Amino acid sequence: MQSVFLVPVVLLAVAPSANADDTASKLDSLNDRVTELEATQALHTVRFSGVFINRFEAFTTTYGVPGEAKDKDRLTTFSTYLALNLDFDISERLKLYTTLAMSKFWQNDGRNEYAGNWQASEGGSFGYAGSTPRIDRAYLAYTFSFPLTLAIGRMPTNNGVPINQLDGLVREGTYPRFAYNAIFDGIAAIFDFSRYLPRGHSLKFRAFYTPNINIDNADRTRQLTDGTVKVDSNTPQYAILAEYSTTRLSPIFDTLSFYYMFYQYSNFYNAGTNTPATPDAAPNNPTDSAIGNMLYLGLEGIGHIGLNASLSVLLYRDTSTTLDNCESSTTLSKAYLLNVNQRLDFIFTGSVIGFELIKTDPTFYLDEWTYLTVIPFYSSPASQGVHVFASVPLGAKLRARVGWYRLHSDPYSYVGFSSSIESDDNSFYVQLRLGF
Amino acid sequence: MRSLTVALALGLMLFPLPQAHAGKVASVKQAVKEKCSKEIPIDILLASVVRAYDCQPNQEVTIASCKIKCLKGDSGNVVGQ
Repeated sequence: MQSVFLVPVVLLAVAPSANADDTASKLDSLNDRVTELEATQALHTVRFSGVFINRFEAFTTTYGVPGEAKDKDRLTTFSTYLALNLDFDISERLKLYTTLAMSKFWQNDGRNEYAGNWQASEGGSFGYAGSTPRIDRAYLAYTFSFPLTLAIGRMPTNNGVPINQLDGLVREGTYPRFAYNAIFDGIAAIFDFSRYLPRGHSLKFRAFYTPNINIDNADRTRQLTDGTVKVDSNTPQYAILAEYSTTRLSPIFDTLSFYYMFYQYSNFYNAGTNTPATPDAAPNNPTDSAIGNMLYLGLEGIGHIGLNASLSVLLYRDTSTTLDNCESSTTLSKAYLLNVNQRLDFIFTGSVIGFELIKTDPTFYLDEWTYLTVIPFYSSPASQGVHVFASVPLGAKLRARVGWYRLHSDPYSYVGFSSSIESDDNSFYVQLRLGF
Repeated sequence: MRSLTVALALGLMLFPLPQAHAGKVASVKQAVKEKCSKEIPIDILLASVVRAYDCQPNQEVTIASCKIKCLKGDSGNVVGQ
């Protein structure tokens, strides 16, 4: 593409000395070269990009039953994460996006922290399993001439707002992180009504159908069986995300964003909670049916001084039922995540400092599977915590971030997940991120 | 000078810039105009297009002493963006 700039420049260079005889031949030559460039550009439909992160994290946790002696674990870790993106412009409207990624602790390979198949699917490459890469993104998107985009495949539903603000980046995932931070496979329809609104306003609806497939681990012609019960092979799960943002509140903010997300899943077989029972025995694992309502309010450029703030609220209701329908219980929970950060462009362009506060109910649950921290800051029930961070660019594409997490968690208990211990966690980290 | 102008005009007529490229040049021009209320010369504009797009989204890029947001667009990280 840069070569296209050369055309007028070359013409400028040759024009003063050109005469009528050789001008035609030079133009023919230029015509051939430009045609070649245009052909090359038309065939150049693959875009390559990636993210490369190296982290140091020093994590300590003190835990035990309240009122009794506490145990303490210390972890000092180094880790690497690499994601390579290959995006294909099949046509002007049809695009294929792919990501191949891996995460690992140094000199450590072969870990498996996923108890069940669904956790492994939602976590993708983020489980620090080792250097074997996994496909975290593989979806096809077709954009119509009217405001509709259809997508199918393994979609980037993780790393949503406000994760990106920790490094002063643009939005990097589809679902808000406090609704889901996990990778989902499925079908999506996105309606973008922004073109019908006054300039500076944006309104989008994103609908997702992401069913959970249960199938025997060894025989694909057999249903998954837990004791006396054959599990449904396909249980529904869907989400609707409504997004409104405006830049027309100029005296007060640069941008105001308001997202509302509704999600629901039914009869979800919670594999991995326990090992499936042997045939003829009572089933071991429950099914969950849940409804989530998630609100995200983001204000960027408050007072036009680079101050950003966002509040995420998750309201969640889960009904857990034993597979044989003998026992059922319903829990309600709410949780809050506040992110405040200040861009320090007036000191050092691109630098950011900020903090996050989190508070979760004892029944809190978040599908949080695609994270690189050791500390489970965003997914712990009955917790309150703070995260302080500072991020500075080192050149155009490299960025360093340092931060400190502190989290206190109380005992909690509800069907499927329970803990009788309380814990105090601290984590200091340094992260180097290359985006290219 | 006159011959230069004629050659430039002839070049642009014979070899019109591809639409995608023209859009990028116009986008940079528009971004600078909106942010700093100034027109920048075509040579600086052409030399700045790559810098305005080959950057981290949301970062600032300096074009002719004017700081604009990086113009790099859709990376596929948001479905249907």
